[in-house]
Order: sequence, then structure tokens, then C-alpha cells
Amino acid sequence: MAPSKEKKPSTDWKKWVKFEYMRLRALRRYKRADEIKSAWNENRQLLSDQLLDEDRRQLSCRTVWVAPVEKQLQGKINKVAVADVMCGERRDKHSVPLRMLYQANPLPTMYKWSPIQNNFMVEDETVLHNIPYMGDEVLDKDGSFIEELIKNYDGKVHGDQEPGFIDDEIFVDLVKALIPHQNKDGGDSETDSGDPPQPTMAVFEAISDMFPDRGSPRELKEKYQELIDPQALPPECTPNIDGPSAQSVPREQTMHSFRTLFCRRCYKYDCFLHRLKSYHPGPSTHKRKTPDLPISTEPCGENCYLHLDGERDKIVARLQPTEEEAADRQRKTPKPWSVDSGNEASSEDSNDSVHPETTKSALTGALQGVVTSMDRSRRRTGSGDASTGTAASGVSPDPTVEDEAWTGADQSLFRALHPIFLNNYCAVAQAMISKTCQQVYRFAQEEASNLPAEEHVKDATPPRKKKKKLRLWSVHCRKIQLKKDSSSNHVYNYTPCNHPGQPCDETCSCVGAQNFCEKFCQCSLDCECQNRFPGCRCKAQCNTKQCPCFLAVRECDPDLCRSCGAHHLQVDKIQCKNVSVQRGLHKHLLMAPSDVAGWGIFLEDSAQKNEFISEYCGEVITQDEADRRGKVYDKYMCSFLFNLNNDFVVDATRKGNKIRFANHSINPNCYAKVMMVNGDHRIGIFAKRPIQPGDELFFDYRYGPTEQLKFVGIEREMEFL
Amino acid sequence: MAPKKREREDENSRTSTDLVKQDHDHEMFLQAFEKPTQIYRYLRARSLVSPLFLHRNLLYMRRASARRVKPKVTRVNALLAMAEKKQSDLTNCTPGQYLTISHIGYYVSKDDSPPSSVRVEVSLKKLCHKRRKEGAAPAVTTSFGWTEVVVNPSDASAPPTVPTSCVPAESFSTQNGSGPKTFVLVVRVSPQQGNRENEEPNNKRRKVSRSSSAASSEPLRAELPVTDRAGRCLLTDGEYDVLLTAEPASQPSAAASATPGRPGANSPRKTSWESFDDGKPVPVPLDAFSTAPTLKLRLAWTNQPPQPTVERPRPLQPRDTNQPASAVAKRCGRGTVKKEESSSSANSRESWSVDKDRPPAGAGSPPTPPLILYQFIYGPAARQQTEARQDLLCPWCCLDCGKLYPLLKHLQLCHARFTFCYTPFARGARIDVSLNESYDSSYAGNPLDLTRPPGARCGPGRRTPSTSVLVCRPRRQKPSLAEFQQTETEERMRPFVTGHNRMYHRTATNLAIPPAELGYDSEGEHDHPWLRTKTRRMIYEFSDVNEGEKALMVMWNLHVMKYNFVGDLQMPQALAMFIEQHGATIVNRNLYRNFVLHLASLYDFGVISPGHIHRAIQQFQELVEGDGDLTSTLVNNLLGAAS
Repeated sequence: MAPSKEKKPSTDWKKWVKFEYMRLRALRRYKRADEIKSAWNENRQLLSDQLLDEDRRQLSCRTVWVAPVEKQLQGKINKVAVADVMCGERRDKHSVPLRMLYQANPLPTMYKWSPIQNNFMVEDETVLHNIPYMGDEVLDKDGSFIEELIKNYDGKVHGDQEPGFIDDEIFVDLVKALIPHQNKDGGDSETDSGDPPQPTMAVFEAISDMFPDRGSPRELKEKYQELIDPQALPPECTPNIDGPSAQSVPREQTMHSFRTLFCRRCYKYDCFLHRLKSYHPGPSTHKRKTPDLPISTEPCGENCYLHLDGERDKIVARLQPTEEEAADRQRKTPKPWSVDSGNEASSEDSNDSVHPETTKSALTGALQGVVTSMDRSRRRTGSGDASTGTAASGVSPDPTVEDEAWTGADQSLFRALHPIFLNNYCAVAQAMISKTCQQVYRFAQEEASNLPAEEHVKDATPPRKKKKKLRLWSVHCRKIQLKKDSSSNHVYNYTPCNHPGQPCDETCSCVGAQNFCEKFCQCSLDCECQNRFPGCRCKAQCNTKQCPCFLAVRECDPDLCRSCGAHHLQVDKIQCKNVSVQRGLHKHLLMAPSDVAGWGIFLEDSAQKNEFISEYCGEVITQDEADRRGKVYDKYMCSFLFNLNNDFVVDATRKGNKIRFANHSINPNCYAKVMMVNGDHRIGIFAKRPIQPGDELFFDYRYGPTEQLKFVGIEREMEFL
Repeated sequence: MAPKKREREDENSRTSTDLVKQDHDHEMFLQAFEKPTQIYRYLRARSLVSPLFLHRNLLYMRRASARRVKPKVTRVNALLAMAEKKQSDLTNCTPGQYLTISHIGYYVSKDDSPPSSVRVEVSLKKLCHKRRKEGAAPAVTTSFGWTEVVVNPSDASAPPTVPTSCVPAESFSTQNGSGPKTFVLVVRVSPQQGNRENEEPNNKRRKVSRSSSAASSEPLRAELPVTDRAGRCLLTDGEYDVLLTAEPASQPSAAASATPGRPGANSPRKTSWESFDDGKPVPVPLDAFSTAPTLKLRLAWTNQPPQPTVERPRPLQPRDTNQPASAVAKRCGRGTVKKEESSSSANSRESWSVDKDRPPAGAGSPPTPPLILYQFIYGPAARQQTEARQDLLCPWCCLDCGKLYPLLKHLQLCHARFTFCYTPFARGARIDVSLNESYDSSYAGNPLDLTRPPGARCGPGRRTPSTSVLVCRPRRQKPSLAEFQQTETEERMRPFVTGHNRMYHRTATNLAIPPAELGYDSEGEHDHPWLRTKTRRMIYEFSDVNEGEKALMVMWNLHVMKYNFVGDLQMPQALAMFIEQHGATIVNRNLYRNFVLHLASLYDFGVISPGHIHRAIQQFQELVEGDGDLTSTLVNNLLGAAS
């Protein structure tokens, strides 16, 4: 019986599979509809709460809405509505003065959009999300439009899944639903008595027959086993280092999440803008320019490794010349053009000086002492209660060895910290808290003996040369000139270059794209990258062409331009005017029905010529995606697309900021400028002439960054018809 | 004020279709001008009731009325003198102390076989206006004697002297007695033998036709208002033809005209915009002067009482350009002639009307106001309607501007629905009035009034500042009429006051923003709630990131989004702030080691140096050590992981 069944499942099975499959699909559809419904209701609730809040606030702030009541005028001026009312026998004359109400114009249509203040990269849409409805007449007139649109998406429209669609969840449900049927089929049922019935091979055969592309019955069965028993799967992620199940893992694994998700450019994890893999070359491999934490020769506490025999002498002997050298260097050079900021320098100073260091160490030593003593006592009681004890603590009664018991979390943390502090065990111990300096030292020795000795090649940073900087400067000034001369019609997106070991020459991606190398590139400044932008040294506001940054249509980089104050965190301390996009120093804009068309955006305060108004934010999409979306927008006669560079387009349709409401004008009061802002191209809207408070803002859509205007032509025509 | 007279000139040469078309055009013209005119009428009435500003305070108006700049200083000692002076001031600027009436002749139609002379009684009727209507206004009539007047004197047969009557100006005084008064000069004509007293009213008699002669024993009468309600003297020097009617004249139909063929009439109302085609009859038919009995009088204000008879004055020359003021033009003040004519004949018509309305050039009279012609231009065809005025009153506001410049300025500024173009010509000014196509009738007041329904007021609240104080001292141009001359090329002046005169809406809800919150940029934050939710969701969606990492990453992301850090250099500070704000949370949620890993990650990316990590850890531990609870929590967490 079995072989015949394996060959060909009965028609019953076929029927059952088909029936159950359809049932599950329908179930799923209903469930999905319910989910959508509830999500919609939730959103609606949110919105109505918002409206309620608004109402409440307006009530609470006692805003007065005064309707002007025309004064009673003498004589015939006031119109009066008169009505004769028959009230039984009496005939009353009622009259009421007519009041003038001003005409209230209907608000323009607005489609919901989400506010953002930074660009937001989204992926290309591979399926058409919805078939746009533009009124019957458009569809009647141009029936082929929708077809073309669907063709653009390779015929994929959201929600129309292929008939053979099956995913893990449906698969499991299907198998479970088919289990009762195998009893009807007879034969195998008696084997499953007692336990929850297991699906027989027949089930998988039937499914495999129905969905041949899902694999053989055996594969399906294995997959099913995997799916219903999640414990069988290896854990996907490293256990939480703070959790109870922390394990001792190599540093790479410990740092894996942080390393892959951190955005070097936004300083965020899994940022919204830099979604492409190429944006994240990972931590740079080159030797850091930042100096290591100097090793203190003073013991940090009673348990410092320096108390161990001979250690201190060794350290002192090793450090003596370098310290002198450092002191020497500090005395000699005031470091006017240092890479490090002021506060960084001061932190170095505090690290160099001994006294604050020791007091702080004493403080943390106290915390450490608390932890270790508690740890010890707890261990002792623990071992006392559980007489069996763990292998490590039970065997060795020596307290020092007992303390040496390193948990997985401790080990992982040590490995994470060790490359940072190197042999400064005091600092490592302090960061770890739970281990003393001596314990860390001992563990480090152990690790070093276990692992192949890590090479801490310290290529001594050469003493800085002022000449080099100056030379670099002149080279770049020439380069800027060069770039300006060549037609700047092609602006390519910046992607950090990553070519270890090679200088930034013609093969470098940045050079190829005519971009400067940024601090995010893997090439190091110390490797004398010729393609770096040196930043400006302006003392003024960086808003003239005297400023090389301004000239290169870049905003001042807080890490490069030090003298203009671009690095201050407090916005009011910044004297540089060339940081407005990155700091979001936009003007206050107000939205009102436009004098021209639809909604418009108005300036709350005045603006000087060339003053920054706002950044044009939106979704960053590829040119291809923009082509596809633009087709729909063109039909709607409303487009918020804005060319960013040759690779990307900003689309403010779904996400954007208020400047998206600025209308087009051939005699605008604003202009748009695509600037390189810390490695990103961003669109700044600036005042073309002095603008009064309350003026509507316009810019000429045609003067895009690359002066190619693909999608806004229709809007322009609409306005001036 | 006289109503506008319009003389329709239908040229016979026109075909009927032309006429129809013209009528249609005319209708369009009237419709186009009707609405703004109504609006300005309404505004005038409103500004009388509740003025928004006073015209006399306007700079250009002040220049016009510079003659009354002297403030009155009142002294106690002078009060009596002032009162007496006022008393004797001949009340309302009567030009002289005595009103001398020379009776030149009584004219009736010849076929009535009139007697050689009639008795003419001159009396003054004082009408006291009462506030409330209580029947007829009380009238007091004072007679100033009878005189005999020759009937139908011809140039040849006229006696050399004419009798005079004299009315002293004191009798026009309004000071004694209560209430305002108007004075009406009543002239009664009765046949010689009839000696009726005028006290007895004659109401029961049938009204006779106007052509009834003086031979019938009916006394005839005419009334001449001396002053109008405002106390201005209407009777000026001149020769008057007084139309006489039967005694109980219901309406004082006296019409005086110094020039034949030039009708003057009392207007019941002020200037009104009336359709030319409605066939409204002229109140006093001109032919009445030729048929009805008239009395020719000459009025003169003198400072001495006249002789009972004076030498017969020479008849006035009607077409003389130096002729004294026509009584009608002077009395009616705003007497206008409005005519509609084809553009071809416009010039001749204008000159005609100019001649008619030529103001007197009498010595000692105030500076002569120029003649002002209003041409209403509408449509492509040069369809005009000309309104000639001899004063400087605004046709819509009746505001006396005094001079031409203020008038033009006023028209331009206060009646912006029209455009005015000034063209000087020999004896006056022509003002072309056309509709202002570019008039922006947008509401310039508080924009909130437009959207919100009237609600109850509950206490003070902030409103949109819809008034602006403008401190601007531009170099004033010397007022020159040239600025009104060309309107075509004139570019619209940018408004001085710019600002928020519109209703702003929230971008999220489209609700109106109340004025109190206008200054707050609600959508300016970098971490909009939806973005915060979004980043949280995105992090939590990862399946290969553990809980501790997720929690810390979300915390850090929100921190960075909130403060918008832009450079590597700001990271140490960002860390310091993070520890300060979230240190306790890190301890309580058991994330210390993840935090250290985060620091290590920052180091790996080259954002911060080991020194910064060291400092951050120190700061963190100081924070924890400062708080006993945190310390114990941290210790438990660290050891909890170990045990």
C-alpha cells in the first residue's frame, strides 16, 4: 500500500489538500482584512485624539474667535428679513436684521503625508501598490495608461498573489489541517494513538503533489519538523551580553550587531538614509589617528596589576621615553591645526595629568570593591548551600582563583574592550567593573597564551608637518577650480571608497564620481589621500565665495572646518552660516491656501537674500523608481519629485517637510541648491531676494541641480494655462 | 442737491439695431458701475455712523483744508462779545445785512388781460423743525410789507423805478427761539383790489391750474428757501424768475432761474444714480415758465437798507461770461448736468456745459473751484457718461475735498474699485473713471474671522495682530497733479504693510492655527513621533539582534534624533548627554555591558578615541556611585549575569 501511495496520492488526498488550502487562504485573507481594519481604526483613533487634543488646547488657551458683527446702521442700510407669522388670530411680524457673513473658501485638497526633517531612503517598489484612480474620465480617455503602469511593474500588483502561494505559516497550518484526514484514509492512524498525531508521509506526498515546486515530500517533512520545533534551530543571534545566557564568544560576534547596524554617517543604528550596503564599509581597518589612552604608572587601586611583581617596573621602563616624548611634543607644538577638537585635546590633557586620574580611579575602585566583595560573599554562600558546587569553584579553595571564574559575559566584554585599551588593564577593569585589575591582567595573559599573539603594531604616528597641510590645501584649491571649470552637469552620489592599501587615484570610486573623499572613506588622511576636501579656515560666516566650502557647494564639515565654529553643538554659538542644512536651521514656515494654486507655503519671518529657508526633504528614490512614480504623478498633474543627483531623486509625495508646498514660479523668490552636506547630497532652498514676512515662497522648479526637469513640466503648464 | 439731469441724444441717423446694441451696452455699463457705487454708498453711510478714521486727519486732506488750522482760543472776557458777535453774525453767513428784493415785474400771459399792477407781499416764514413729528412744523410768518409791481413791463414801457422790499438779516437769526429753523421767503401776489390776509389758510379752495391769471382773485404765491438745513444761505445775488402757483401750494414749486432754458429745481434727495431710460419727468417742466405767471425779482445782499424804490436795473446778459453766478448753480451747489452723448460730439457738449456752469468770477468771492468733468468709461467703445461738477466733492462720499489734488488723492485711495485718470483742460479737470480690473478685494482684516463661526467670547485672548504700525518717513513728493495723469503705465505700488493676513493651517490636520500658536513651529522637530516609532519598529524587526542590543540601539537612536548630532567631534558630548539622561535607565534595564559594547563600536568606527570611552565610563560610574539604588541595581545586574 505504501509504495503505491507514494507513487500517486489518491484523488481524495488531492481534494483534501485543495480544500484545506483554499480554506486556509480564505481564513488568512479574512484575518488580514481584520488586521487592516483594526489598524485603520487605530490610526483613526489616533487622528481623532489629535483633533480632540487640538480642540482642548484651543479651549484651554481661551482663544477668541471673533466674528465681526456689523454695527446697526441707520436707515435703509441694514437689510432686514421680515416674516409674517400667523399665530392663531394674531398676525405677528417678525423681523431680524440680516448679517453679512464673509465667504469662506473651501480648503484645497491635500493627501496625507508624513513629516520628516531628513531625507529618507526607500527601496524600489517591485509591485504596484495600488491602481491609481484619477476619475472615470481619465480612465475612459486613456485606458492604456493603467496597462502601461502595470507593465512597468512586470504585472505585479499588490495583493494579487499567485495561486500557488504558500509560506511557512500556511504550510504548517496546512499540514496540521490535513492530519485528521489521514485517519479517514485509514492504515496509519493506530500508530499515532496517545501522542498528538504526527503527519504521515502521505500528507507531505499530497502537498508535494499539489505544489511540486516546494520540494519533495521528504524535504517538506524536514521543513515541517524544523518549523514546528523552533528549539531545534540554532539561535540566530548572540545572546544578550547582559542577560543570563551570555556566552563567551569572539569579539567579532559580540560586536556583530553593532557593527553591521551602526551608520557611521548618521551615528544611528539602522538609519533611515543610508540603506545601501555600499554606504557601510564597516569599521575602517586603517590605524586610527586617535592616540591610545596613555598608560598610567600609578596603581589604580589595591588590586591593581601594577602591584604584581615586576609589572610596574616593566611598564615604567617601557613608558618612560614615550612620555617624555609626548610631553616634549606638547610643549613644542601648540597644535593650531590639530585634527582633534578642543575638548578632545582637553580630555587628553586630563588623561595625561595624573591627579584627577587617580582620584577618579579611587572612586571607581570603590564601586569595583563593592562588586567584588559582594561577588565573593555570594559565591561563598552559594557554594555553601549547594555543596556540589561548580567544578571550577569547588576544586580550588583559593579565593583568587575563585574570583578568576570568568563568565561568558565577562569574557566577551573583555575581548571587546581589549583592543581599545590594549594593555591598560586598569581602564579595562574599570570599564568591566566586575573584575579587578589583577584579574583582568591575569586573564589577558591567559588569552594571549591561548590565542596567537595579537600584534599591536604601533606604527608611531609621524610628527605632524605643517607643510604637508599647506601643500594639501593648495592642491585642493586647484582642484576646486578644476571642478568648477568642468561642466558640473553630472553630479554623482557619494559612496565611501574602500580600497585598502591603494591610494585614491583613478581607480578610486570617489575620484571617478568627481566627489571628494570624506571622513567616511576608508582611505586615511594619514595615508595622504589627495582627494580629501580640506575644509575651510574662514573666520567669517562662510557665505561668500571666499570660503572654499561655499565655493565647492558644500556645507562646512564640523570635523574639518574648525575656525568658523561649525563644530559647536549649540546652534547659537555657530558663527558659520554654511551649516544650515545639517543643523536644520530652517525658517518657520506656515501653510495656507496659495494665491496661485492649491496650498502654498508662507514665511513667518522675513528672510534676507541668500538666506537659508528650508531643506527640501523627502524620500530618496532611485532614478528608475522616480521614472515609475513620475508616470503616476504626471497623470495626477502633481509632482513632488526633485532631482538630487544622477543616481537619486527626492520625492516629497509621501514623506516630506513643509517646503514641499512651495509653488513654481518663473519669477521666484527662492532658489534651490543641491549641496554636499557631510557626504550626502541635500537640497537647500534659499532666498533669492529679500522676502517679507507672510510672503508666499516660490522657486523655479526648472533650475534643478542638474537642470534637467523631468517631471514637473506638467505642473508648470497647469499653473500658467 | 439737484438730481442728475440726463439728456438723451438720440440721433435719428442711427438705425434701430444700433439703438438696441447701444441700449444693451448701456445696460452693461450701468451694471458695471452699479455695484461699486452701491458699495461706496454703503461705506459712506457706515463711516458716518462709525468712522474708521477722519478724513480731515489725512495728510493730503489737511493740506486742502489748511485755512482752518487756527485753533480757537476762548477767553472768559471775550465770551459775551463772542455771543453777541454770533448773534449779530447774520447767522449763517448771509452775504450782507439786508436782503434787498427789487421787484422788476410780474409776468403773465398776455391773453389773460392782466391788470396793470399787482400787489406783492414779501414775508418770511420760519419753520421750526421738531424732533418728533407732530403734525405740521410750527411756522411763524413775518410780513415785510406790500409793494405794487408792474405787470408785464416791457423794455420800453417799464417804469424807471422798481419797488423794493427789504428783509433785514437779523430776521434770519436762528439764535432766539428753540430748535433749528429754516427760513422761507414767501412771495405772494394778489390783485390790487384783493386784500386778503394771509393768515387764513385757504385749504378748501380748489387748486387751480397754473395758467390761471392774476386777474382771477386767487392770490398766487411762491416760496424761496433762504437757507438749507445746514444753515447755508441759498439765496445769492441774482435775478430770479419765480414761478407762482395758486395759494395753497402743496409743494413749494418755486423755481428760480436766471437764464432761460436752464432749469433749476429743488431736489428732494441727494444725487442719486438713476437710470436714464426710466422716463422720470423733470420735476419742473420748463414750459411752465412760459405759461405760468412769474414774478421777476432781483435779490441783492446789501449792507444798507435800500430805498423803497430803486432804479430799474438793467437786464442781465445771459450769455455773458462775466455774468454773475447763476442762482441755480450757486444755490444748488452740486447742480450737475449729466448727459450721454456719442464721443464724436463730446467736445462740443463739454464746452457747452462749461459755458453753462461757468462759475462766477465775482470779486471777493472765494477761489473758484474748477469745473470737474467725470467721464465714465466702459468697454471698448468709448461710451461715456459725463458728470460735470463745479465743486470738489467726492461723487460717492460727498466729501468736500476743497482742492483738486486732495480730491484726486481721495478718489484714488478711497475708491480703489475705480481707476481715475486726470486730464487737465482749459478751465477745469476731466477725470476719466473706469473700473479697476486689478482691484484686489481680498479681505485684509483678521483672517481668523473668515473661518470661524461666531462664538461666545470668554475672556481675553491673543488675536492675530492685524494692525501694523508703520514707521516710514519717505521723502514726500511735492503734491502734484501729474501723479494722477497716466494710469495705464502706472505699476501697482507694492503694499507698505506686508504680513500675515491669511489663515494658516496645520500641515497634519489642516485645522486653522490659532493666533496664539502662530509663533511656534510645530512641525520643526527632528524626531517626529512617527519617526520615533518607526526607528523603534525597524530595530525590533531584526531577528538576529538580541534584546539588550535592541533596547540600547533604540535608546541611542532616539537620543541622536532628538539632538541631531552632525559630526564626530560632537560624539563625546553626545555620549555625555546620553549618560546624563539615560544612565539610570541603562542601569535599571540592565544594559550596562551593551552600553560598553556600544562605546566599543563607536571606537571601531573611528568616531571616538579610547580616551573618550574612558571618560564616558568614568562619568557613568560616577553617576551610579552617586545613587545608592543605582549602585545596588548595577551590582546585582552584573552579578546576576555571573550567577
